[in-house]
Amino acid sequence: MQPSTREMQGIAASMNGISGDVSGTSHDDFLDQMLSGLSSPWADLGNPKSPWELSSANPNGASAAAAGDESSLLASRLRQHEIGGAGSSPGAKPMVLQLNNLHLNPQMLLPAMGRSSTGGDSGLLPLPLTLGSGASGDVDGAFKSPNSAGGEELYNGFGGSLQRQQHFNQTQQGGSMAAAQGYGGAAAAAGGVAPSPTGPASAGAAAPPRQRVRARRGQATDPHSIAERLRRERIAERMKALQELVPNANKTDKASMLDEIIDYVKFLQLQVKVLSMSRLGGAAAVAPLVANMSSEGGGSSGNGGAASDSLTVTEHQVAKLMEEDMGSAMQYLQGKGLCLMPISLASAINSATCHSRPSGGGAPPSPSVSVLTVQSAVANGDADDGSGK
Amino acid sequence: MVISNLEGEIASKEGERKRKRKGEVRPSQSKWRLDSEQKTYSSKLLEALRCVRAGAPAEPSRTRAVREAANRALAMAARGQTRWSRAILSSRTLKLTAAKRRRAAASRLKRSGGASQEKKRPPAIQRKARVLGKLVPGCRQLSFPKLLEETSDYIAALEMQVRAMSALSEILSSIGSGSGAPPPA
Repeated sequence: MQPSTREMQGIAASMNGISGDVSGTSHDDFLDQMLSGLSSPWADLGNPKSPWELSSANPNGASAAAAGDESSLLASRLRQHEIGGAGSSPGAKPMVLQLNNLHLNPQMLLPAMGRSSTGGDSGLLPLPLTLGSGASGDVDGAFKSPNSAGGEELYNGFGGSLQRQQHFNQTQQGGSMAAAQGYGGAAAAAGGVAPSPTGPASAGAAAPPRQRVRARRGQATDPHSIAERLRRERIAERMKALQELVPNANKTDKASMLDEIIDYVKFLQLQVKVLSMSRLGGAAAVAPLVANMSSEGGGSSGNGGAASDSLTVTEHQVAKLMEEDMGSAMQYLQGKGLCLMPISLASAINSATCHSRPSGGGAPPSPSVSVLTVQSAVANGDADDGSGK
Repeated sequence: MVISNLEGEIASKEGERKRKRKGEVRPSQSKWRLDSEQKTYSSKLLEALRCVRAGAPAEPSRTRAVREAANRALAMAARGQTRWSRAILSSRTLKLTAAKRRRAAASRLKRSGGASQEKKRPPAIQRKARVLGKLVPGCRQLSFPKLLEETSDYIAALEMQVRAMSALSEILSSIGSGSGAPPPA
């Protein structure tokens, strides 16, 4: 604290010295020289942003250190410029006044400069321009505050103005950086979103114009869109494989293709159900199993007998019902999963199946079985679905 | 990409070679077309049918038992490399029809159609994907590409199952007709 105060006093002394030397030069020249002198030590500092960043981390303490650095550098530079150019005391005073205005109202930098009544106006006017240009401009503007003469009060004001300045810088830099990031992010998002509805082929064409390298057609430099594209390709590959499996797969639309797949899976599951029933419902199917299972004993023969008995029982029932009402007989048969057909048709179907044996492939089973069991499958299938699959 | 797709198509068309697709090791669907596989499955099925004959004599339950046995045998033939096969084998003993009914009723009441992610697929396709997931055992909450993969394997396996069972029933019926009893009309 104290060293910095001394340095501030030294600056004030040098300022007075400078002001004392110059007598005839206009305020503009003095101010221009001050400006040039101020900008060079700032450039010597290297990264002008670093003190501001330091001060942002610890506004109070770091600003003191920064103030110390700046003030010491300023003092050295001002001593150099002492001989070269100086402003008269009347020139210094209005500058002090203006600088007081500056550090009192850093946010009102531009109107403050506009308000300055002395000839230093023209010198200070470049300030707003530099302020708007970037960090260095802001730094220059903020750098004005250490020039004001004074002691503790000035230092406090300087520290406060530094804080305010740095806030101003930060907001400005943050605003600019946010703007840049927002633009980049928006571009990326737009680029990422654009391919998904339009498809991978037109990703490059549909992307908005960006500052980065323009991607090839059908490609994207975004990791998100790349992952999207990979996923889509995987899905398309699987759909193609499915298309080969499923018959009637000449659909190009994904939705209709999915419909076909669903229907085919349902159909295959139904076929399995039907076949599992024909395995038992047919007495012929039962008999060889009975014969094979010698170890089962009477149970299987009982089952076999029951099967044939059930058939005769059914026949009797149907005959009884047919005497009363054909409709009820048919309903009873349907409930059982059977149907009536002329004997000629049945024999024709049977002979047809014996001739045309499907050797392989996914052909449906023999029509006789299917005729008998499709009805039962439909009936029992509904029952099964109702009872919960 | 295009070349690998072509190769995949050629392989599946020929149906004899196993191919690695996109670096993942997966049994190709051609496995289900092999006759040896079908014979293995048929013999397993016969064994299972014998057990069923002993177990559930009543008609409707026996039908279901036969179907379960057939599905289990099919899942065994898959050698545990697919999700649906593992789901069939692991859940058949535990899953009761009552539980299934309750779950189906609850899902119907809930009717949650929340497409949580972004609008990658239109909801129509998503609905269909859910339906498909319900059809294929053990594939309800599966990602779409995975689901398609399981479905293709499941379809191939089902086709083999149908072929095997129809052939078996043919043989049995022919044996039956050979023994004198006429096939039911």
